Amino acid sequence: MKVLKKENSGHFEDHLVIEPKLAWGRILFNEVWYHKELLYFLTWSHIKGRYKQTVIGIAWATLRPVLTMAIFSLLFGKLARVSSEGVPYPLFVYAGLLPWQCFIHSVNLSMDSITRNSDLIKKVYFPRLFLPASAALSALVDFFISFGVFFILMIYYKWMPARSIILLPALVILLTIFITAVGFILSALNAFFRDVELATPFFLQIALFLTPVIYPVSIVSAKWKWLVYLNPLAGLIESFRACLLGYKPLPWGGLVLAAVLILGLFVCGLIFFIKSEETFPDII
Amino acid sequence: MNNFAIETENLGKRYEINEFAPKYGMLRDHIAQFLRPKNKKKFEHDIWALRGISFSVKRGEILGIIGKNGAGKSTLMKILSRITLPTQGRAILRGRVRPLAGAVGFHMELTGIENIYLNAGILGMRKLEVDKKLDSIVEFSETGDFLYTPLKFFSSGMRSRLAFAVAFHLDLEILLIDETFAFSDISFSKKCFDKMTQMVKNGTTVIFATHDLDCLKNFTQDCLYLKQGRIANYGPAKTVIDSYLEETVKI
Repeated sequence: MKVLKKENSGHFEDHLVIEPKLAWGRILFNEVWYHKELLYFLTWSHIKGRYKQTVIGIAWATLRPVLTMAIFSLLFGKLARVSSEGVPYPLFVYAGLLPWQCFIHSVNLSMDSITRNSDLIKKVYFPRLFLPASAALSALVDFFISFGVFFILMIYYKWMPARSIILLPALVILLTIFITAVGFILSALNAFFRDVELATPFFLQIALFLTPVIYPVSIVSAKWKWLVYLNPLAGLIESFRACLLGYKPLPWGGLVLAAVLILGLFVCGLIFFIKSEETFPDII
Repeated sequence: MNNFAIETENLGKRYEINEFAPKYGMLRDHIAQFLRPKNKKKFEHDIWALRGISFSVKRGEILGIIGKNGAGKSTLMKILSRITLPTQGRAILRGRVRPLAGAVGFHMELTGIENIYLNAGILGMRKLEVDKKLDSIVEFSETGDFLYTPLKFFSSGMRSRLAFAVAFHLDLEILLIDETFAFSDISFSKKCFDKMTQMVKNGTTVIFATHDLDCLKNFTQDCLYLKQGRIANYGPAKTVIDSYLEETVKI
């Protein structure tokens, strides 16, 4: 009896039972916690490896949003005269592009994270959810770097940051949860159906126009606002803008809805991912 | 009460053949499957890659696994290393299980040192542990000055040496080896065998799947001969290997 007791105590790996049933609790609470440093290793390897053998390296992180901002400002600000609610259009569109491009970048990095690592998945066990999570998180680095340009723009347009900027960390956390959730879902789906990595870039292009990045929600008639806000990115981007520029109150309704949708998506994504996890080695 | 490091009971793994065939599930097929009346031809094309596998290995012993290609060796290893779930039965592993996986999980653009940390992390090592063992890992890998250059400049032999160096520095109680160190040069594979022997002396349990029968005869106490997913013979290494040889040579 004494020996038995000793076996059951101590480290969880001291006594491992492998059975046909998936051990949910073990994956979530033991494995993930035990391997937590791996998330750091993987994220860091993404970041370090990404801009190797490039000429301007990490500058790409700022160049992408800056070039997009320039083109959008010309097309939608100058030519189409899209409303920017009294804010200089470049500033307006850049504040929206920050979270939007972080989302796009993260989707591009994470959606094939399972299929790309088939070698690893077939040979070593570790909590697979770190693969999409680390890919998604590595997109945040570019996001933070592109923030630098935003503050330069603010100085250029002599735009004072408002007090609402203290809410920025909460919005960044929400964005992080969102991109991780999308990473879970798309990477697992892509393991089953490669259609995902072919279709996603196309849908992202369309999504740009359905999300208030180049235009404010205020140009949508009041009757249809709820429909725009069903897209969690809409509430998030509008809030980013209000928070960074402080020219209007935060759209609380949209933000709360976005937060609920994002947390729901995260829980569903996590469950879906862990449920599909065990079939990955057999299908990729 | 129990000095068995590994015990398995009636372990089995079933694959549905249509899971093999198109390899990639097509969305169309899944929709068709969904619309088809249920309970029809559901498991007609099953393959039992493994069935009725029961064995036990004492602490500090080596179990050899032999069998032709496709006999189920790798499937068994995959189940024991938790890569895939069994369809039936169960296995109890007392101790930390690690596979000797070779050069996987490496990032070609990162340097050798950076890859040591990455690979060790994937295999479940903490950063502090790697810090402590780094010198020893570097020395074991014999990759010298290359360690500070990106991995893409390493030869494939050097990459696998680096992988083995990391794997042999893991804290583990059960080591799973699929295939040998044959792809590295003689002196390095001898070094690996010496290290393995030393680990076994210290109480590590090893499961060793290989086609290198001479090596098994020298190292292992027991052997498991798999044939079409079933146990064809299980017992002392010498008898099992002799019967395996007799059977295969005859055919």
